Amino acid sequence: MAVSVFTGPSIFLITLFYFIPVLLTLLIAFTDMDRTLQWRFIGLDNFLRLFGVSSRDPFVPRIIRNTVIYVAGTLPLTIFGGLFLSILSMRLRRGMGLFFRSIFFIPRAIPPVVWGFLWAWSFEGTRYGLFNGIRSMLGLPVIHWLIKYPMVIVILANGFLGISLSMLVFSSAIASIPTDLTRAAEIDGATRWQTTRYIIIPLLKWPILTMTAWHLMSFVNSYVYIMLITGGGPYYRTEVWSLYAYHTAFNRYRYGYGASLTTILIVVNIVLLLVVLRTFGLRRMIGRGKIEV
Amino acid sequence: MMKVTLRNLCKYFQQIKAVDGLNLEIAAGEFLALLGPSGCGKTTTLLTIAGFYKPDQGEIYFDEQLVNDLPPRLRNIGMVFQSYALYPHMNVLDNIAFPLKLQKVPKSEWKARAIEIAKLLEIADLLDRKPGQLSGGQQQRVALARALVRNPKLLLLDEPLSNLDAKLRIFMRAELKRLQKELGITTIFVTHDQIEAMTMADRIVVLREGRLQQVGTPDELYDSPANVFVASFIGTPPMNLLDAEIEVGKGDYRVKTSHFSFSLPKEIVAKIKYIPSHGVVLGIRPEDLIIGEGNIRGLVYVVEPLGRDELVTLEAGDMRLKALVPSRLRIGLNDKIEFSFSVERVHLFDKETGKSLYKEA
Repeated sequence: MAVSVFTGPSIFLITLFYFIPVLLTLLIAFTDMDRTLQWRFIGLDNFLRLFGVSSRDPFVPRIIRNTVIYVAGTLPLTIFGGLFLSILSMRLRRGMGLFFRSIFFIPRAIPPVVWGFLWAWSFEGTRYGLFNGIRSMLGLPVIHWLIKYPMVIVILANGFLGISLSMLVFSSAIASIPTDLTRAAEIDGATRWQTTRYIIIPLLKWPILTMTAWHLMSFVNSYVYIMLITGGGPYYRTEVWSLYAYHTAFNRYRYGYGASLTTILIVVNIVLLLVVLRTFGLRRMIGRGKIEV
Repeated sequence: MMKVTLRNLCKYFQQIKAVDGLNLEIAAGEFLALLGPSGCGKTTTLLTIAGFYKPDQGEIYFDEQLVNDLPPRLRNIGMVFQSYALYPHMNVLDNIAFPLKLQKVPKSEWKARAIEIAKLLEIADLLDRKPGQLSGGQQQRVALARALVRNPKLLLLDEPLSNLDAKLRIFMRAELKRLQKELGITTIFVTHDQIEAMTMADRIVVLREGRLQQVGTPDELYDSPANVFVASFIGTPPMNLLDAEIEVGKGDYRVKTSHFSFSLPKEIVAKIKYIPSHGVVLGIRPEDLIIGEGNIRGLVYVVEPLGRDELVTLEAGDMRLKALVPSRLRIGLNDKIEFSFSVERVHLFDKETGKSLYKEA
């Protein structure tokens, strides 16, 4: 009784805003619903088109490639960048380290729109952009950053967001490693680098795995910052799967096809989730802290 | 074997003088205890010797080499931490071999040496286990093996026995002492437990608030404590300390407390450096009290049987005294009894400075 009273409201809300939309999406994926909101069931037509069986969608291979490149770029940046910054900042004196970490946490503290436009504006292709402004002050010609290197820029913008979280998680994990362990390593003859390599990083195994899984799923689904910075362009060069689904449904009003793209994303997510749960074990994931000492 | 010299060692944390002007010479092969209550600076001293803290003043010498600026990894020391600090992600063999691997010792050799030291410490059957699968006593042996594996010139032990249960602690006390003598390695260990210090160490350094109180063999500290602090800290149950005065008559030194008085025997008088005008503290060890005979009257306040002995608390006037007596005396609560003490074994301290009045202390 008490269980249903306490969990009831959240189960209701999750059902209303999560499970029902997912179900609706699944249903819409089998229709040809468009801006008129009229629809009829067309069976697997959307998926056949998507997989290139009939009247194939010419953008799909490119979208897949973009998504893979995007995830392959942001994920290592997030994990290695976060690891590097946390190890570095934990070596600084307390106040300095805190200051340093606070700066790198800013991306997550400010509204997404601000962060997105900050990047868009910094790499603006005219002399009114930050970097081009500096270049023109030095008498250098402007560079059309967002046209020349759009993928690099969206990867960096999202990577730094990832770094801000992973750095925080790794730093607190490092802080919870007992001083005695690193002192013992020092006594045993380890240099700072050896202590980091053989003691600290192995002890961060769980936080690293958790952050990898978390960010993998987060990046597969992410589109907000790309939309704000490049809008997927120039000409689909930064259009990733979820952004393509969004554009299809809400820019071109092809709700049916957009829903089928989203359905694929849902399936990919479920597979990833199962892999993660299998690797970590649900019981262990919700168990106690994972810095083993 | 290495000699360690501390010269006017000082370590401050902001306003707090954790170690204040420590002078000490630790002989090669010596087993030395740093003893004191918590916050006395003993662990700070150890960590400074290890190189984790830089002295604010003074010098540390290993043999003739000044090591103030030498980082811990180059000091060639072994250390066992209170928490043992075993690397949780490595098995026992890798834990023990870690110092050798860092030195790029070839695999066949580090393996052989690690196994050899594991055999010495009787943990050779645990090599595949992770630290989390070991008992406290086993963890301690692994920590010891790791500290010893590269034949360090100095071994540092920080409260090595405090995490063990009472029975194992007594066993390991003897084992550690034996091992230290067998290997002949200069060893400094930190403890707050005076019994541990007394039973294991060749010499004990008593510290209080960062300052040296007394250095000596266990017997010296027990028989001739340099001040009231050492007197009360060394020995279980602790020494009885009573306010008293010394009256000097013709050829007679009389010690008067609020409840009884007695004349000092000649051998004690001969030891006294001076008679303070502001009073003294009289110290009597519990085992020096004699119950059932004598001219001091008292009341039995409480009796604590210890098996072989009994610890009797006596009330005499406004004083309470503890006496260690054989169990067969059969003393009951509130018994009125007479007692005395061995006057030739009393201790006298200056009431103001707390320092012993005896010459040799």
